[in-house]
Amino acid sequence: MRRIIAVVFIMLGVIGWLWPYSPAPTVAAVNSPLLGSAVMLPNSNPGYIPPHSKVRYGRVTAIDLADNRLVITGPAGTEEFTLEDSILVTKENQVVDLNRLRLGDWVKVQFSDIYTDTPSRLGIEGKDRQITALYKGQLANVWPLRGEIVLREVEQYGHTKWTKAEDLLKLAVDPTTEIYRQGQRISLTELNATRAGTEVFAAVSNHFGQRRVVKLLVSPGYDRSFYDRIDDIDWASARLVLAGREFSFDDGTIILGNQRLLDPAALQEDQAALVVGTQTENGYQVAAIVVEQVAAPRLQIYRGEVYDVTSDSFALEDYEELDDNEWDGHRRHKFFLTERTKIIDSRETNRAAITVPLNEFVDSQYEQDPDGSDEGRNTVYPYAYVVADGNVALAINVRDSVDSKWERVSTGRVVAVDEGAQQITLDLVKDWSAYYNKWQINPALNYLQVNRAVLVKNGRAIDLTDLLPGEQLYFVRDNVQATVVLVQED
Amino acid sequence: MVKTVWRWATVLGGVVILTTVWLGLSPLVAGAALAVYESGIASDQEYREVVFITGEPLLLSGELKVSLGREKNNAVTNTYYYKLSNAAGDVKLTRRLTLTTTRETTRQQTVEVTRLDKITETITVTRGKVKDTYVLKDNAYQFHKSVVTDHQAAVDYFSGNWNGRKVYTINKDEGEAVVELTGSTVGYSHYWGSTETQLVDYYLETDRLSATSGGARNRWTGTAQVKLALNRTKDLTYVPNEPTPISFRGGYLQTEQEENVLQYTYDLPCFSDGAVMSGRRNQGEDSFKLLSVPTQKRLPVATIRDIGGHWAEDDIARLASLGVFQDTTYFGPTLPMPRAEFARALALLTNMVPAPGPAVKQITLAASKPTSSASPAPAAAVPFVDVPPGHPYYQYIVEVEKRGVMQGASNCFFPDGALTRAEAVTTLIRALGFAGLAPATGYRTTYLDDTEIPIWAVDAIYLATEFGLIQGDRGYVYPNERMTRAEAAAFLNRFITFLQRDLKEHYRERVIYQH
Repeated sequence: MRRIIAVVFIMLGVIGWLWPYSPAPTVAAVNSPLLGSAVMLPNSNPGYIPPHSKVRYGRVTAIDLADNRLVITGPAGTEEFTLEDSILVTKENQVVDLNRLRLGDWVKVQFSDIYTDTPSRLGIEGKDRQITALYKGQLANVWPLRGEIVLREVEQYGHTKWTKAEDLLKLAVDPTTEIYRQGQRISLTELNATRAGTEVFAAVSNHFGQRRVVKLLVSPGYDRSFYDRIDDIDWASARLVLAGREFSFDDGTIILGNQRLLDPAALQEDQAALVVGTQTENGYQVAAIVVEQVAAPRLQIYRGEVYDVTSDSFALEDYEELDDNEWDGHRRHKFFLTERTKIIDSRETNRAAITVPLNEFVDSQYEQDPDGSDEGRNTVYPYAYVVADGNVALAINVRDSVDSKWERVSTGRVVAVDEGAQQITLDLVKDWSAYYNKWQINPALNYLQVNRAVLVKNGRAIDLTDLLPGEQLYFVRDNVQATVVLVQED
Repeated sequence: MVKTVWRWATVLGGVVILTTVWLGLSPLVAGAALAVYESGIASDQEYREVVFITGEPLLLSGELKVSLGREKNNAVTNTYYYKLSNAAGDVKLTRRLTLTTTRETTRQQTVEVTRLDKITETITVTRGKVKDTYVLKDNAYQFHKSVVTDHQAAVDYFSGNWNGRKVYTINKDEGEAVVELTGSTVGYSHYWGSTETQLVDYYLETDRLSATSGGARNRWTGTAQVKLALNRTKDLTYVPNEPTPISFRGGYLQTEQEENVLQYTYDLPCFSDGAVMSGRRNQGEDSFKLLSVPTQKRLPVATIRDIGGHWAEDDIARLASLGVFQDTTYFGPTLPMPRAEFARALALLTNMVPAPGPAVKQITLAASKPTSSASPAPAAAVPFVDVPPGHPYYQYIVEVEKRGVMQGASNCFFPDGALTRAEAVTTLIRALGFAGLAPATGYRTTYLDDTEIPIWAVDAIYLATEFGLIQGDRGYVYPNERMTRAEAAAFLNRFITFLQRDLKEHYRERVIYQH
């Protein structure tokens, strides 16, 4: 027995200099017959790592929640993962639904096993990574040693148009900035060598209060902009057709959507996009593509006849759900009520909506049609718009059943809030066009009346005071009168 | 291990004006880092911090002076003087803070504990005819902080926490304001840069007489979070020469810049005529950045003649400019990299052994064959029989051995032996101090030639892949192949980039953006 122990100690001593702290000469190590013993060292859980300690970072290049598939591109290259419902998803320190994930988001993907492709946690980085502006202008200065460039004759993209911005604009550039010329990535020093009069496109983020270029492209030449739907796209040949013209794109093309940089794989046919290109003998060479898409709201909007109110729930019958920005009819949907369910009655068109206490709404169950074809139909609150998170009603707006030809589904950005007048000043307004199946710019609408609307933000009904300038809204309106306003979760 | 960078603009009778608050990372300078637990950052021009005590975020800027004490019995006492105001000039802050930090060092770690000796603080807010004065009550400031620093071969890593509670009187007898804070810090320091990221949570509670409603009390609570990061990065940029008739086509410029950022969010009450508005909150966020003017140093120009057009030309030229290679005339990019030369390169690049003197001396040395004159005085111990004190790379080999980065076998280092890829990877992972992060033994890497990986190199190859230091070649890592000198140059450059950029991203953006 002692002899066996002594042998083991001798073996461990030899292993000690070989492993794990001594890169001895390779030949000695590899040829050592004792290495086989080292592999066999007892270990009850080979490959164990602490939970969530294997990490990948990258930008989301593809998501298919129906197929539980996530693809990211980061320092480790492009990797595909399998998502499970149990995954914990966080964004800015809050637990959120997986459907908050957007193409172009930066994510931290964590695993609890070194072999699995199924992450245990997913952290979504917030607005710090978002693209805050797309500029084009002429290079006035390039300072590689300071990490800065200066543009002159600057124009800023917004809402399918280029508008004049600052005369001179200084932007920070760092080693992570992607700089491209003719499809090839170049350094800031190389950009400096040909800067005189060069026109560039720059996608910029807010880096702790400083405007920093995330991606910069030397313009291929005199450009024109086209806004239309993408008719056809061929990723293999890197070409797309839009507005009857053929465009080719490459690694340097700046593709933006939802204030995020996107991969070409994110482009889809029928998508409305602004394409900036330079005409060549082989069609247009694309400098920038801005996908003018609006992310579908996380919450659901319904409207229908109110039935079967109880102390805990109610139902909508012959209801419609807003699906892909268009009303889609269904038979019946049951909703649960909570203490937080905000209920307003906005049937009186000449005054602000009145708040309906939950108990009053519940008590209306005693005012339902007892029989006949309308059995269970609520006679006090017969028709309503409902904002729901799954089956939970967050806000109810009781209205008359109307089929107004002026009703629109729109989006816009909050410029200012007037609490006294119950109005929101808006810009960047777009209306959904069912006919064209795309978002149409609406320069005429610059304010919204909300005194007869329910407002919902972060899963809760809010007051107008909780609305902040800069927030993106998704709303149902009848002319300028809003019915439902959702603050978009980015 | 890596010295903290401090810059002093003026010395005034023992008190220095801190113009660049590099709130450092080395032992016993942790007291300096406390200067920013007050949620402030500095550049060489100014100091800025944000305070929330009045119920609104107030951005204050001005002067921070620091009086550094001398270390005695593993303790040091520093005093900080703040004199700040807002842009409008109607908010003023003065603060004097004395902190003592004690240090215990065990093996390769240092534990620091900081206590508050004394503090005075006064904030005045003048709005129209109303003037509020907040005075920190005597003995009403509780503060505790501790930081542990792990000294690895090429990098020091640290992590710490603190909490505190400050109670202020408002206009002597009109009420009290309480500020509770809890913070954490994490960071690293090495030759190529350093980053410290702090996350500080505030809880504020105020109970005071209303300034406008006679006799009524104004009570409110609020929260805020401040995220700040202090970064210093040393970078290398190639600068080409314009004229053709010149003895060299271009060269490298080494720059060093501090980039300090602060981001804050708040949830505070809304006020109307000085009274708290019920059911309404003032929520928001903002951020700012302070940059120092980068310092610059041109590096000696490499004149190597056998790398033109080689795929690793830039990597080799960059390292040559740093004086990493002895022979600057011929490099031999396809020759095997000797273990001793790799040890020297790593020791110089990480400042385990400081670069040998001024540029002129470097060139003289570089142009000649390695001689024993390049070596320092022999050390007392001779760890390897094949690396005697007179060996030209003696000091570098001794240093990497002492730090556990490279070892030999049977009292030999095999200095002229060809370095394999597995050895190179293992060496750099040890230099980074990451070896302990590997999975439990007995696992497989994803490389197709996994079975060829020496057992002692499995962890390093796994970790190097995880951290993006290596990617393999079409699924193979070829662990036992000799690393050429060109490959070694590229690998060492990737290592520097990891230190300069990847670590900064890990410690700054990925910490702040995920919280």
